[in-house]
Amino acid sequence: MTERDVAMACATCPSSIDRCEFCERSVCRSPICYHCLAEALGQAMAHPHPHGG
Amino acid sequence: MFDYEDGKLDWLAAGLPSEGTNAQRPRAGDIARKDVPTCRLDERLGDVRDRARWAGWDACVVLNEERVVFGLLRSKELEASPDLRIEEAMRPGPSTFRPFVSIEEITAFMMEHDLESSPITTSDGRLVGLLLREDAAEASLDLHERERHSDGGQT
Repeated sequence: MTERDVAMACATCPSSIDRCEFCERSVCRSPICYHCLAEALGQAMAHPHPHGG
Repeated sequence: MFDYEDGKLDWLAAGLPSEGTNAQRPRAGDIARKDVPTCRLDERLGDVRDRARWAGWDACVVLNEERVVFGLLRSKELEASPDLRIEEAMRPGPSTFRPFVSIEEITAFMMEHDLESSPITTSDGRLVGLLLREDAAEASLDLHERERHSDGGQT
């Protein structure tokens, strides 16, 4: 089994990821998925509630 | 009146001017080094490494003709065999960040993830510069000190 075979969960949401989107490592203490990273850095905004809040 | 159809984030990502209190705070694009060495996919690693080290760098950004980031050579990749072509040695498609990202937020991420550098690009992938962790940390500390003094030490 290699590092790449180990699936990780995003530390912020339940998404399963195979590498941390920030540091690009497959072993990371606080892995984060693309969407959570984009939101955390203000590069994207969270989708509004589907029912309009 | 003029509508910028690609939206506010794209405007900021292109490094275009902004106003307001937050516009005074340093951003990733302000701190990123614009003089980072760059290379093309078909160059030889040994040549690129020599050029980067001669300029005092331990990193090089791989670009196409339109300055779109294709890859990144950090210190580990630069150590590979000098006869490799850049496209064989580089980290392809590195994570890139927009110039408007808060320096404090990206510094915290770089520290937490032990990342030495991050490419900063416009939203269409063109290189703005390379943000070094030590520069980001210094700018973040300066900002913190400045804000502490402007608050009269009340933090």
